[in-house]
Amino acid sequence: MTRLSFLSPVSPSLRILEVRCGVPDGSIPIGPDRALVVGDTAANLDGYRVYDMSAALVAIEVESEALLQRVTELTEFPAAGSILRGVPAVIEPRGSGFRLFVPQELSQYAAETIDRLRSAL
Amino acid sequence: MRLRSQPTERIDRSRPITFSYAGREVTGFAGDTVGSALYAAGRRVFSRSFKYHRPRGLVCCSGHCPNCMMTVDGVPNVRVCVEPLQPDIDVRDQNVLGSADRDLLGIVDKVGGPFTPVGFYYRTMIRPRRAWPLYEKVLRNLAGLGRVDETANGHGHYDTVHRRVDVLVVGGGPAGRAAARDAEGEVLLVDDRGGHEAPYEVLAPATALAIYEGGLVPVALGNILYRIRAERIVVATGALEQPLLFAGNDLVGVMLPEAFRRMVDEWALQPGERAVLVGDAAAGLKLQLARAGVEIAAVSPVPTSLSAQGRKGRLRSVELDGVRIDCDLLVVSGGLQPAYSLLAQAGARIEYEPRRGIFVPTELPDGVEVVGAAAGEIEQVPAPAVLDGHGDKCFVCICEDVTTKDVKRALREGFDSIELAKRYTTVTMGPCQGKLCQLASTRLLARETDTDESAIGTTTARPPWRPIELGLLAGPHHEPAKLTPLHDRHEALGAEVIWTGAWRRAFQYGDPAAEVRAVHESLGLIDVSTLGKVLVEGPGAAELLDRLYPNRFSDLKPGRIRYGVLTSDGGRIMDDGTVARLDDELFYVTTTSTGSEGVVEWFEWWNAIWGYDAEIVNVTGALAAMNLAGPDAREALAPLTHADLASDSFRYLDAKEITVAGVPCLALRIGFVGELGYELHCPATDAGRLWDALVADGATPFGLEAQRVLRLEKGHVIVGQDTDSESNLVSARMQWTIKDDKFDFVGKLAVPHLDVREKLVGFTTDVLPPEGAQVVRDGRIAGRVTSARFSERVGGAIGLAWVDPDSAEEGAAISIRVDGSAHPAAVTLAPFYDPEGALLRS
Repeated sequence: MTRLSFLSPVSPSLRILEVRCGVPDGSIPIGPDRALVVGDTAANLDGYRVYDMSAALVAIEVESEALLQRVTELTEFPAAGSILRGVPAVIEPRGSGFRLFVPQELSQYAAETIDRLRSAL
Repeated sequence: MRLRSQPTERIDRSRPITFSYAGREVTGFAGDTVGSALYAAGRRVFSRSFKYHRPRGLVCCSGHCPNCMMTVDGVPNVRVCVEPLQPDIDVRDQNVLGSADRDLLGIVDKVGGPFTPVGFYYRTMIRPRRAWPLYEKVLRNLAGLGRVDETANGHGHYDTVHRRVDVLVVGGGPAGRAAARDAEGEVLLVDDRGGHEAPYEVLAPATALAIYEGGLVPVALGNILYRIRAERIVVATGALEQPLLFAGNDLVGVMLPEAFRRMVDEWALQPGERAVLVGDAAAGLKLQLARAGVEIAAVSPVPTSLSAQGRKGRLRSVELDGVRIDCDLLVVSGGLQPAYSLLAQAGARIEYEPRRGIFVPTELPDGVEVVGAAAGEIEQVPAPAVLDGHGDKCFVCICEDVTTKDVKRALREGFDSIELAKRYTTVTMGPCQGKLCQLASTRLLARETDTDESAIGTTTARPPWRPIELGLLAGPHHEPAKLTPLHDRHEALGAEVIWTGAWRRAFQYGDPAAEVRAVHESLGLIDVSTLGKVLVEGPGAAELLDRLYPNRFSDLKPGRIRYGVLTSDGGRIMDDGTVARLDDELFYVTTTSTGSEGVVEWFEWWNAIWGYDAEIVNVTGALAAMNLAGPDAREALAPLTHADLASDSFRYLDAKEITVAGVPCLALRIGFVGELGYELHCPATDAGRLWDALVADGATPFGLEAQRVLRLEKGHVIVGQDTDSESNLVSARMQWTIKDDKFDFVGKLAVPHLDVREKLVGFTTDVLPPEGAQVVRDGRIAGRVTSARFSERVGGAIGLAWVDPDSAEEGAAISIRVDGSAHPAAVTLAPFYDPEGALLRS
């Protein structure tokens, strides 16, 4: 794990780690050798380069596939791609719905827009 | 007036629907279209034509032609023949001066012909030149179809839905249904008519607009645009009935067989009282004619001559094969043409088949199939190019009012290919997009050039297959806005927030001049979270940065910071920022606010080539950043941290990990605004706590405007504001960042050839020039102002400007043009404020 204290929130609500140099078991792949590890996980991260992205990403829950179809053209999950108008996102299935990780600086736009799209369903 | 109940009618006579047409109340039935309800109410003229303003009536009843376009609830160009009737809608005529029945602009048809031949707008109304604004005003008022209500805030909510299916069938006729039934996997059928019960999914009434690469098919369904990706696409779009070319072929009462059939079978309407049937398909309507009580005056499957005569735009008689026949209905068919446009867009080859007189699709691209009539499963004999006969105008294109005479004239003027004729006459460029005029114009050109249709070919098929509202393409209205973690603080302080790229930033908090004074005299605080922030980590990190930047970083000591400018291969300035070395293998790079994504891509692109063992991690969003600046900065920060802030312990251009108000920070001692300052980078989630502590400690928030004044006093450049795509390090007087002794860096080969036609300098003047103002020397333009502000500290207007190299001397006299007058200015090469940087180092 990288030792950068200034990158780690004092008390994160959800720990999100970006792992480089491979894709550990139980992680969400976001590239050939990149992955996200979300929450408390037993994943062994020895040998990987790890960056704390807890403050960088915000998780948004989407409850149905019908709503997700209005948000992104991605159809196979988990997936890393874009939602809405080019917002980078990592999407993982979660129960009957989905969890979207989006950059915190765009999270208000994403959440408000998804909520508007939901109300139009 | 309705016929008695028809076995196949779609209307529900127990459910009347009332709506408004031209301010009058009209009643139809559920199941009606707006067009059928208006026809039942006695309306025969539905529109006026584009150019000549001739009366036009129902022709296709399939949503193809332009004849029934009206404005419905403020939305122009709605084809009412297929628009489902809804209660209380407001329907109005369009493109008329008066009404569709009495349009004053109809005068153009009577007397305007000689003055408005094809292409008239290229050669008339060009003299006298000064009269053009008047001509333009008149033409713009007359041209176009319908009016967009500029005061309306959109016409509704639009949505986009993304789907992926195994098989997409376009077309809900027998062939399409059979293909969908036989297909395996997830099957979706798109039908532009009503839906039907099926073991597969049906989207209806919906229209496939195009076929793009990768099996992408946009489909319009009401206010929703479906973006469907399919592994396999089956096109079953059927065939389009074609009109015939003869004099008077646009009179109200001339219609295609499908229109007649739908009027009788679906809406129980009587299309006329005495009919003439011309063409094979028309001749097959005898059953419907009998049910509708229409007298058959004549039938001619293969006529040799035909013309139609009318009064006030309505059909009164025809002259068929030399015999005059009174009638009010002429059903004509020029045969069927496979609807191949989607296939042509997908890349299929379209070839003419002379035996049946149709264009058929061949050589389909992978993943695309065609079935049914769209594939050419049609038996017919070719229709004649033109049915000779004297009388009224003969229209090749009823959308654009292009006559056979226009096409012949275009040919005489040398526009002898179908593509040139299209551009000159606008044939096939109207709302039907060639559905009713492509084949007819090809037939006509073949006849007039004495060639065959295969030599003429077709025009290029382009999306969309049918006209759609721009709102559907735009989708729901929303614009990504990047907010810093401190955005709510700025709003609470009443900041004026502006767009800078995709970011929303605090521009000022009420008094920018006071904000500048606070930084100079005591303590200011600005949110700079928008800065791009990138970690570069690994054994190869130092060497990677050495090759990316003209500057050198491999000799930078851990804990120190150096300025860096990125250049392109051609040596042009791309971005700038600071590079802090946190340990031997870890660097912290900042970029401009709008440059982070581009810089990260640039780094990764080059490293994919060079292959250094280094990770490039964009941490822009993970970190907030704020700059605490002013002579009181050290004293203000001291009580909030245990770090040693003494100037010999925490020097200018030092980087240290410290804790401030309980928040872990990376503190950078740099000074964009020219005063003693600490740039504090911390986890985004903890930024609010840090900001609040610093404000409580006496820091005055300052915004972008104050920052722009302060950085200008220091002569600091903003890349993109003061530089452009031609700027290089020598012309921007930053050659000190070039370490030419390095074996390689991006842009090194360009360094000896860097063009220095102008130089970036500072200036002082008495009158504040606008950004972009001209720099003038000896009466000629010698440069331009890139930034300018009034500085209280300097006591006048200061700025940066590009000037010719001869003027780039300390104290050189230049002039800057403001409001048409040249004002003297003096070139300044050193910073305007604290030129030695003593305050920064204090």
